[in-house]
Amino acid sequence: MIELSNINKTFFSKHSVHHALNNINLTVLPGEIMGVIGKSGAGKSTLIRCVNLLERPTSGLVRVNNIELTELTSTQLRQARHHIGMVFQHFNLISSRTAYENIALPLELLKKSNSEIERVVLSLLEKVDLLEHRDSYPHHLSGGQKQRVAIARALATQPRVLLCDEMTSALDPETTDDILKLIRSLNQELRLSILCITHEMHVIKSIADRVAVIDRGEIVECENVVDLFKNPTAAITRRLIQSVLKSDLPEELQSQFRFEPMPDDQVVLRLTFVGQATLEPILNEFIRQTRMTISILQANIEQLRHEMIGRMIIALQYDAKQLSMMQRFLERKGLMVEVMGYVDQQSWLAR
Amino acid sequence: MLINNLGLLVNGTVQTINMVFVSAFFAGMVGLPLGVVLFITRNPHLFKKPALNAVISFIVNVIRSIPFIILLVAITPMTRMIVGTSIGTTAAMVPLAVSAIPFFARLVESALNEVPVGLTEAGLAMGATVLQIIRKILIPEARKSIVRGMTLTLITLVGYSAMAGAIGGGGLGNIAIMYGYERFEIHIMIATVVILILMVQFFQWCGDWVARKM
Repeated sequence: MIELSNINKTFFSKHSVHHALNNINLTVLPGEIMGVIGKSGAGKSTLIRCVNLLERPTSGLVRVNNIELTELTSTQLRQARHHIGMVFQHFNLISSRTAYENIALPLELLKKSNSEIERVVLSLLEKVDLLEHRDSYPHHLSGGQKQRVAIARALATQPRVLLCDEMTSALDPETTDDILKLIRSLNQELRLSILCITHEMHVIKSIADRVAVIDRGEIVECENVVDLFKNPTAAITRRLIQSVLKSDLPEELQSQFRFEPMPDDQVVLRLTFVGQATLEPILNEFIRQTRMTISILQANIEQLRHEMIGRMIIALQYDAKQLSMMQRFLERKGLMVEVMGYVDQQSWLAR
Repeated sequence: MLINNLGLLVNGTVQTINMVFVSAFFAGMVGLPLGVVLFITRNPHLFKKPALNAVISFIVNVIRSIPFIILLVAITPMTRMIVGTSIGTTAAMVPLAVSAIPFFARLVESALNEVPVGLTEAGLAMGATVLQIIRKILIPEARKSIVRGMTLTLITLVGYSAMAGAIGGGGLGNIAIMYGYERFEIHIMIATVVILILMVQFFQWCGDWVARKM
C-alpha cells in the first residue's frame, strides 16, 4: 500500500525555480492498480520517483507498506526498497547479464543462496513465459521480452508494491496489450498494489481500478475509472478520454455548432452508456414510444477493466419540451446526456 | 651487423615489456579505483562529494599536465625512496606508473559515464549499496571501454618508456639513443623503431580481441 500526503517537489536551478509537484495526495490501496495519467512534463515521472525516493520530495510524507520512507536512514531505506519493485520505460536491464542473471540480481544483492536464487528465478521465468530465453542476453530479446524480464526482476524479492514508470511507452500496441495482460494477472495472483504512470489512456482503460489525472504538477481528478469515463470534469481529462473513446464529430461539423437554440434547429446530443445499458435497446424503446426521428452520427463501445462503456452522438429536431422529456427518460435508464450544441438544419443538410 | 646486436635488441625488448607491464599493472590497481572515486563523487545518486571530487580532479590534472620527460626528472627523489635507485629499468617504472595512473583513471571515469543512468537508478530502486552498484552493474557494463582504456594506457606507456630510456631508463629507447643517435648506427635505431611499431600493433590487436570477446 502506498500513501503520499502533501507531496511537494521543487527543482531549484541557477536561474529558475520549477514546482514539479504541488500538494499531491494519493493512496494506492492493497491489491489495487492505480493509474496516473498526464501529458509529458506534467510531473508524472517525478511523482513515481518520489515513491521510492529516487527523487526526494521537498516536503510531504511518503508511506509504503506502512513505513514512513522519508524518515529512514539510508540503510533502512535500502532495506525498504527491496520490497518495492520498479519497472522502467527503457527496461534498464544489465546488458552483460542474461535474462536469468538479470532476474537474479536483486537476490544476489540480498546474498541469497544459489539454490534459492535458482528456485525463485526459474519460477519467475515461467510466470513471464520466458523459460526458453533464460540464457539470452538483452540485445537478443524483443522489447516485450525485455520488459517481461524487467517485470520478473522487479518481482524477484516478492515486493507488495510495484511501480511502473511508462512501462509500455517503448512498445508497439500488440506487445503493450500482452504486457498489460501480464500485469493484470500478476496483480490478481499476487495481490500486488501497483502504481502505474502513463501518458496513454489505453493503459488506464485496460488495467486501472482507479485513476488520477495530473496536470502541471497537480492532481486535477482522482476517480474510479468507470466514473472518470462516464463523467470527466476537467478539460484535460476529456481530451485524454477522447484519445481512446472517440466521440467527437469532425471539426467542420463542430464549427457550425451554436450554443443557443434557434427555432427549427437540430440539437446534437452525446449519450454515454455504462455497463448493462450498453447492450439494451434503450434508444429503440424511446423512438417507439415517442415516434421521434433521430439520426445517429456516431456510436462506439469500449471495454474498461470492470465495465463496458458506450458513446453515441445523435441529432434530432429541437423542441424544448421533448428534449427535457427525452433527457429524463434516458437518465432514468442510467445514461448520461450531454448537449453538444445546436445547428441550423438548412446549413447542416446543405453540406 | 644486426645479428651481432641481436642479444642487445632482445634484451632491450624484454626490458621495455617489463617496464610497460609493471607500470600498467600499478596504473590498473590504482587507476581503476581512482576512476571510480572520480565518478561516484560527482554523481548525485551515488556519493556526491563536490569538494573531494575537486581536490582529486585537480591533482589528476596537475600530474597529467606535466610533460613526462620533466616528471621523470622531477620525481627522482621519490623514485629513489621507493625503489632505492634513480637509474635503470626499475627506477623508470615509478614515473611511468605515476603518469599512467591519472591517465587510466580518467579513461575509467569516462567509461563509467557512458553507462546509461537508468541502470544506476535500477540498482538504487532494487536497494543496492553504492559498492554493489559499482561491482555488479557499473564495472561489468563498462568493461569493454575499460579494456580499451587499458590498451590505450599500454600503448602510451610504450612511448613513455622509450623516453625514460633516453635518460638511463634502459629498454629499447635507451638502445635507440645510445646506438642510433649517438653512434650513428642507423640500422639499430630502425630496428628498435620497428620492434616498437610491432609491439604497439600487437597490444592494439590483443586489446581489441579481448574487448570483443567480453
